[in-house]
Amino acid sequence: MHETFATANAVRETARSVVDASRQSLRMTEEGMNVRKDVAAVAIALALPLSVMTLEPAQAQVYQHGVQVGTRCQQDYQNGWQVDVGNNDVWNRCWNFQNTIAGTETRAFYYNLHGAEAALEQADGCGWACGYADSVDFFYMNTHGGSNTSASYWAMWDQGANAATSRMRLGASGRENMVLATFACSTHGTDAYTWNRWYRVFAGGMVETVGGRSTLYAGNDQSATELANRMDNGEAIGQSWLESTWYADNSNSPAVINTGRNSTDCWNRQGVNFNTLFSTPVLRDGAIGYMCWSSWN
Amino acid sequence: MNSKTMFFAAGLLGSAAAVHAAGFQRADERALASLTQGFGSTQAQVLQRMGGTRDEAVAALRPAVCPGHCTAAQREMDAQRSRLQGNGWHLDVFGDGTLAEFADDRQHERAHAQGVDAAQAMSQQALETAGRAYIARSLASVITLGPGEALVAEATYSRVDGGSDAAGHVDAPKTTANRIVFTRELDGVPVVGNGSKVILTFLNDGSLESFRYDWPRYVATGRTQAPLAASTLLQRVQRVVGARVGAVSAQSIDLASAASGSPLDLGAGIALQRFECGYYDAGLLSRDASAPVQAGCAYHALHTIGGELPTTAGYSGAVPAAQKPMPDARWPEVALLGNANPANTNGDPGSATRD
Repeated sequence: MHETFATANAVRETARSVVDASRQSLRMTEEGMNVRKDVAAVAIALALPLSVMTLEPAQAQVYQHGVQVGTRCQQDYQNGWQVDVGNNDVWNRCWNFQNTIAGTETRAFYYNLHGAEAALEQADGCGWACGYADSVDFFYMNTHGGSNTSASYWAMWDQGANAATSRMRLGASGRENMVLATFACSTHGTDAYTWNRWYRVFAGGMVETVGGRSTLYAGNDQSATELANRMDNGEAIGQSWLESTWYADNSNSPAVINTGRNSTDCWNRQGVNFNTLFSTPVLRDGAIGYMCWSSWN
Repeated sequence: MNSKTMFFAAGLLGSAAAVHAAGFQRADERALASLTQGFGSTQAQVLQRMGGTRDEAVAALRPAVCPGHCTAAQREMDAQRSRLQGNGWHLDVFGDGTLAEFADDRQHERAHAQGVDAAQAMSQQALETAGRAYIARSLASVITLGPGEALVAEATYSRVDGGSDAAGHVDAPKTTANRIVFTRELDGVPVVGNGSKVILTFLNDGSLESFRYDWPRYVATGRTQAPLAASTLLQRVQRVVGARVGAVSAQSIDLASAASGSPLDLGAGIALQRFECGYYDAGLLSRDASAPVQAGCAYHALHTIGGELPTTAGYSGAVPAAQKPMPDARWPEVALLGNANPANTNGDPGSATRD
């Protein structure tokens, strides 16, 4: 039995190496668009249950997509400049997420938000040790948030410090972030100002972001476990967020926002999941023709 | 103005554009009554949640989700979940079989093209009719009612799609799916929390996109509790949310503001949006399986910090309604009211090693 597990782990490590090598070598730039075609084939192949590859019993199906995931969260704040939501909700939620996702994907890092504004607003230059959003494919964050007509913002631990979309460009450095997921209130409003708030971030090539259209309530940290499980099962990332967040509390108002060359392309791309993430064309700057969103109201 | 609308007028605090669920009149009246009547009875049963097996639930649901010539493969995903999967759909059954979710991806893919203006979406009445018909037709073997129990429509929700192009044109929002939540009443007392819920999602043409239910059997343990008065229960909410915020207020609670359409001011910057008492069941995935189901009051509250970049924090939970609630390891308010800290198994992960 131990030998079987060891074999499975070896296969997973090999799979990760293949995906990483492929991703690094197969990025092509064509008029502002990166296409990761061959990586997709590898990712799809790896989406096969490893139980099939190792002839383990059917109940132990484990999926592997090669997605690198970073998590950064904050529950308490310097000099209490933001409030704690209590019940250890943030640390539990984030631990649940990164622990569950680590079962199938690559857990790159899990840090708090001390001095983290640069990790969201600046290009990645030093990898996972710095915990930058652009050093992973999928960045998950839990803190307080808000928005105005020109930006969405997230509170850092440091008193008075916020990371703001008006200063962010994700997907253009380091690992090139593809998904930003934030459990925070009112950062993903869906209205006439959504483009204003989010275009600069998407212009770097990020594929999709999920968050709160209005309030997301602290009180049921189980939703983070469900989010990770749904994504690993191949559900669309946006749908995974909408359902896991809403089912945890029917008063939550989750939203997903993504881009496309045009409306049709945008809605098609909203179906992106872990199996198709690396084969989704990256749209940057002028290649973005449409921004679309979906939310539970 | 119904009570749900009234409480969600908390949008006045900062999230003014929020459009929330439409509560059914009965549910809204219950919530409003909770402010003055609390649990609504001088005695509450202590209940035990009962289930069966996942295999039984899968077998019971299979005809509904995979009728006729449909083919499906059953897979055991892990120790807590079984999956029945076909071409473009799946059914997950969890734990003791009391929680299940069906999702039809084929219908989901059709939803966007069927988007309509909000005024043309399924009405509350149409949703209740469609929901009750589906439950009677397809879920009758799992959504069962004991003596004195009733299935009651609680609220409706909508999934809305929208978009904007590079030239600044914003497309009008379209409703692409319609969702209804049913709850259970036991001798007229509702179950609050995620337990005892049936949730169905329909496209605008009436096709079912998904369902999810958390529906155990409840068995009386023979024990009873005497619920506290409404005013004391509201003070408990004030105390626990204050403890969570870190600023407990002793301010008296003025119920008159609720009648005027505003959220209740609990002091310390906390506004109570909704408060509803009944039997509290947090749901299969969020409760201590060994703990009983007790009387409790669910709450939603907001705390807002102003300034140049304001933020709002949302707090949800439930306070026990009994003077001395029974132990429940996964009910943090029980610990807070007992002057203990909720179990903290996870802590600060630490800073990035390099900035």
